[in-house]
Amino acid sequence: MTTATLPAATAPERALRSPSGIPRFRTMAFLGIADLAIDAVVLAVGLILFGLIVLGIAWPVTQVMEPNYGLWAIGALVRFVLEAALFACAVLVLPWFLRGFSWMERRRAAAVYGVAIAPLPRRRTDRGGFKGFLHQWWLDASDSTPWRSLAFLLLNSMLALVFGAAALFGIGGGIAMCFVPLMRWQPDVVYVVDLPAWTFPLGGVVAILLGLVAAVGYGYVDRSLARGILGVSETSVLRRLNDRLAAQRIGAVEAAAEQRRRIERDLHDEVQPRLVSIAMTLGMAKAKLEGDPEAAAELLDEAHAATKDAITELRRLVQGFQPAVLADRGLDAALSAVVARCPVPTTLDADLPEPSCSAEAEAVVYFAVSEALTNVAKHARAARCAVHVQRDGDRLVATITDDGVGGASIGPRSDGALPSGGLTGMQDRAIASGGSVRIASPAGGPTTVTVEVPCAS
Amino acid sequence: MRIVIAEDSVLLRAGLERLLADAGHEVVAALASADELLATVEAAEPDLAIIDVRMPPTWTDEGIRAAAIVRAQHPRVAVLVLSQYVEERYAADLIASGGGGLGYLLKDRVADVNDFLADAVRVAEGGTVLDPEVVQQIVVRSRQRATLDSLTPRESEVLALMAQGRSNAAIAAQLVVTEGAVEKHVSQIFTKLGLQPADTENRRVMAVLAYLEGMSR
Repeated sequence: MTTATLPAATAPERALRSPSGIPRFRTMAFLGIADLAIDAVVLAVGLILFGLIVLGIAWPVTQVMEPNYGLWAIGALVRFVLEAALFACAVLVLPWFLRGFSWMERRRAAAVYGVAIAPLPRRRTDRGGFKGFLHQWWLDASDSTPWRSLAFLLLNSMLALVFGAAALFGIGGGIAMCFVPLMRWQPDVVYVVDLPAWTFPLGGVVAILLGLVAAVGYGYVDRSLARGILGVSETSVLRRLNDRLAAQRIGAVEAAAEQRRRIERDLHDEVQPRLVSIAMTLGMAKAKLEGDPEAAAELLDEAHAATKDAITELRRLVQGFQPAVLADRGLDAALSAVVARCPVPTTLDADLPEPSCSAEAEAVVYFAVSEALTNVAKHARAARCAVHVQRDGDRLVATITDDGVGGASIGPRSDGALPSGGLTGMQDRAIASGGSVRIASPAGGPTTVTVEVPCAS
Repeated sequence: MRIVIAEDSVLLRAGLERLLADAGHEVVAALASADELLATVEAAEPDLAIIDVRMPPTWTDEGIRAAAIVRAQHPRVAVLVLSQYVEERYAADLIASGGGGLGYLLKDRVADVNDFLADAVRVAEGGTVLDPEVVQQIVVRSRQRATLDSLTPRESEVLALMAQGRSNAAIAAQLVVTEGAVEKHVSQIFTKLGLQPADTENRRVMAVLAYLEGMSR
């Protein structure tokens, strides 16, 4: 198996390496020993979690076998429920605990040995609410990462025990043996093995050397284990990335198609009929100009008003896509107009520190907020709405919450006539830039739409 | 009055020229870029410069930047910015650039010819005119939410009209109430917001805008 390695070393990694690129001997020996302590703690927590799971399976069996009478049975039932809850928690936490451990070990391998181990890219759920939580758990649990992590934990701990004991006894025993010739020999004691005194210091030195070899050797064993077990093959990383890119490509294509459909429909259904009606009104006014100037003036008024409506309509239509202010003043400034336009009273809370995210990420979030508010206005029957936009590490997150009737969902694709088309388009665009859209909208409300995009997309 | 127009769309430029000339104003120059505008304002010192926001070379915010320069360097020249879209951030930039009369309106407003001409005159005379959509955006972003929520719906309407730069008479006409009623609403609003009553209309607009904008960023 080839281990996927990242090309560039970070500053601390470089500092730990000797000029030849191989970690310094001192560092290896020190960290080999120091690691034993960390692994012991991690192993203990892992065993407790595992023990809880085993106990959870075993307990009901023992409950059935014991005699259950009266109040005692109720006590047993309560205990059983508690056990079951503990069991569920342990099952739930285990994959994430192991994921975290894998992350920690990979960081340690990078810092100590200067080997960068690329993780398998995490799969993320596209569902919202509790379902999304469970789905994410399943995606994480069915991935190979936690189980590789478990294998590494068990194997590494056993080896750490063996090498640790060898180092401890080798060095400690060796020092003791060096002092054997200084002992006062009792003349009346019969020694089983009668060796000359000088052999003891010699044996001691050999034992110390072996102990040191064990301590340093553990470092090398640890490094190969981390690489071999935690590291995944380049092929599987690439395959996972390929899946992700394929989904993004589909999202981009779908989003573009959806937008074309929308523009066509809006121009065709909204703007064109208005212009036709204005032309008709003006035509009538022209005909009446001589015979009935008063009626003509009325018709001109009507055409004037209809023209202004059409201009407003057109402005709203175009502004939803990509306003100039987004490019030259950023997302925060651009959201003002979107929020002010919403007929439902809406508050805006934007916390976007400099440096700002990429233009694409900001455009996706702008579009999503604009779509979400259009949905709120059209379908939610809400009295209030709130928009929060913030940076969460390397992700740009927008949350749109309304107190309306709920029941919003991302509908099936390729049917532009559905009211949920807006949400589908929003999701496609988010996916195209490596992000996601989650919707929690129980019947009766409230509805929360969460859009998350990588800042650098 | 003497007017300079900077607008890159030929149709709109010609339309504005005709409309203003029709109303008896003198259009000194009608230009297509911000650079030409700055040179012409320098040379001609007009009473009013009507400026489009999106102009060459990048079609983003050239007009806003040109307007800010005009306001900073020629305080006697009033500036009326017209735009396809209005943005509160641009309005804030314009207000912050100091100077005399200021207007910031959607291009759509030109369609109501008489209102538009009246607004142009008000701006040229040193007044402030902001588009209702800008004011709406400023209100949405305002951090003074608790105080604004304490206003009655009618008071909120009056506040929005004040922020647009309307006089008491104009507010009264728009809401179909007497000027006395408007005066009562205005003093009530100033009490609720904790603002000192302003002696001129323009100071009133600035006080209200400063209150709404002030702590929003």
